[in-house]
Amino acid sequence: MTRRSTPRVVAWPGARSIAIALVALVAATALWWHTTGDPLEAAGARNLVAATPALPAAPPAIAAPTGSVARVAPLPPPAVTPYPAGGVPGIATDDPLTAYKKANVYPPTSRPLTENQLDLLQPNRRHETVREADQGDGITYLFTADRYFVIADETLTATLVVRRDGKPIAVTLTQAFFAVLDPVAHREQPIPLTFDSHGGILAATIAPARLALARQSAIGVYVEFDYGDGKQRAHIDFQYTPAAGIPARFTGVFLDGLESGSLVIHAGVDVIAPGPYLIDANLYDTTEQPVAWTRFKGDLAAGPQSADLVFFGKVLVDAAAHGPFHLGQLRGARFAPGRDPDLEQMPPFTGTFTTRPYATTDFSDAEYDSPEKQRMIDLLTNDRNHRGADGASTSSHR
Amino acid sequence: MHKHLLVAIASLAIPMTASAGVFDIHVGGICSTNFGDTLGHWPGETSINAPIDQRDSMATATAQMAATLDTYCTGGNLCYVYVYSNGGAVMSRTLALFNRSWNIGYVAASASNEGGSEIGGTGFVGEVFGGCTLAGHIGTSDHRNGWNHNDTHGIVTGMIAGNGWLAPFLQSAILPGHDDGAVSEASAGGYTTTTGRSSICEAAPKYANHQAWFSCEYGSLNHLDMKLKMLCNDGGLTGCK
Repeated sequence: MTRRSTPRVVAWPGARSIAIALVALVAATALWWHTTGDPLEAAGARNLVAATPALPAAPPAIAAPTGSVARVAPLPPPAVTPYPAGGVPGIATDDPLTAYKKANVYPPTSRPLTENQLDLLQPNRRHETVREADQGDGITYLFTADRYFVIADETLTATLVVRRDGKPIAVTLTQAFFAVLDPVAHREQPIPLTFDSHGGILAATIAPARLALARQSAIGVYVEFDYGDGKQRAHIDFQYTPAAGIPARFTGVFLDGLESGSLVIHAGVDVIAPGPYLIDANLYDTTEQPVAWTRFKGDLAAGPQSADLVFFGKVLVDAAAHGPFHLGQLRGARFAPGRDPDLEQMPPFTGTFTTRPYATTDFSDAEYDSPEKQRMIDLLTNDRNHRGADGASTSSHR
Repeated sequence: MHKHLLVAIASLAIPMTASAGVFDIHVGGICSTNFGDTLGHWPGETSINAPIDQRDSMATATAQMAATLDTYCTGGNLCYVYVYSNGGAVMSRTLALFNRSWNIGYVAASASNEGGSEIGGTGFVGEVFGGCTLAGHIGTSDHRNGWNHNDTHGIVTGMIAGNGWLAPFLQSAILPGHDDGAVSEASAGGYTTTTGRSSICEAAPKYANHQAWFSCEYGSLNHLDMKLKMLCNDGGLTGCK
């Protein structure tokens, strides 16, 4: 048996080697920084420079080094095509790293918006659909309302339409009430509700302000109707914010400008209850086509504040959008973890705001980057146990 | 002193991921308090049965989900999150509401109730799910209006859906399009409206970063069959239908 000689392993490098390595590391870092630009710029750093042109997207030219020093400049990463705003058609097959990169060409909270994204364009629409009665009998019904969020003195109109074989029929309401939901103690108190018939539609109006609630509440509306051959129950919920529980209001004061290649609209907010806020808005271009949505996600102190609505430059460039832009569906809520409900709604902004004119070329087409994104890329690069959608090619999942 | 300097330099050279743990978080469905006894397992990783109480309140479940992610998915750790049924809604809501830097490779969702179920609020709910307060408040308007489903922290959600018969119930007459007896493919496929779908590959608007994985639908699998299917598909379990 031949004994194999063990190669000599140097556990600790010499001090000279370390010094050389450190110098090389510093040089490479500096070169990377200059060739890629400030990564925080692409993430939308918050230095407002009103109406100044965006920095050029291309990195500045670097003078070629002289002498015999080896060039260590990293190659720029290949461009990644983002996932379509409306989703990937068919079955996705990207490996987790590729999928993450494609999902993060834009920031998580500032992304493209198309006219088909009704959840964002009509944030207070309801989603009930026509149902068949439990016992069948050719009976279908739709129990719904005109909104989901009700604020202060607003009212909610609940409607019930019952059909037999597709034709509206008259029914007898055997129960109709609403109740403030109590997910902890379950002490709901039914409040009778009266429905009136309007051309085959049963309708009832609820004015929650009369309940004198102190804070955000979920309210359930319940009906039981007799259609002749049987009875059917149905219920819907809605969210109510009493005037006393409104956490903040939009002031209607706005300021728009360019910030590191992105459009930023500073929305004035009068904060009553400090804390973490989620504020959403949509952006329409000069032809009133939706081009982007954004979300402010941060803490606001009490008093007059500003929520920065960042519309990422590349989103606007990729949409070939130009202004003046119009802000739409501005709404928000205070997040109150530990309470139920935990989202206290702000009254949506019902006015209009139009920005100054902007050309598409005013915005940066740089891809989003951040330390968090780079950390995720590192982690996913080093983990190969999970293949996600890419596993379709090897696993026996079908 | 010299040795201490060398140690410090050496530690700087160690990548953050060298000591990283990978955690596979499992989140159960409506009326559950955890995923159950069967988890997926991947070599060298730790499977977590997330203690999420989905009996009373989405707010409670969301806070517990965030606490779980805080425990396992920060620093140099990496998580993969496997959600079933209403667990998909809990995870989506947690990502949308919180503003924390969790390291999540992806969310893998089986039969997700992210878009709410049309049977929420009917007598069927208790029979299918075992009965609990929250089961009556996971309807389509509750979930679709409840949070911005497009804010996923940039995390991809892979989805699979079934179209099997959940005997002896008749929910398929209530749910639009194809369904697994408890949730429609409009919900399980991450679509932005409740319009009935005949598969989760159908071209229609979906929430950002939501996508179909592995199959356009599992025609013979019902809601209960779907629970472990994603774990099998992703290599963490064997023996699924």
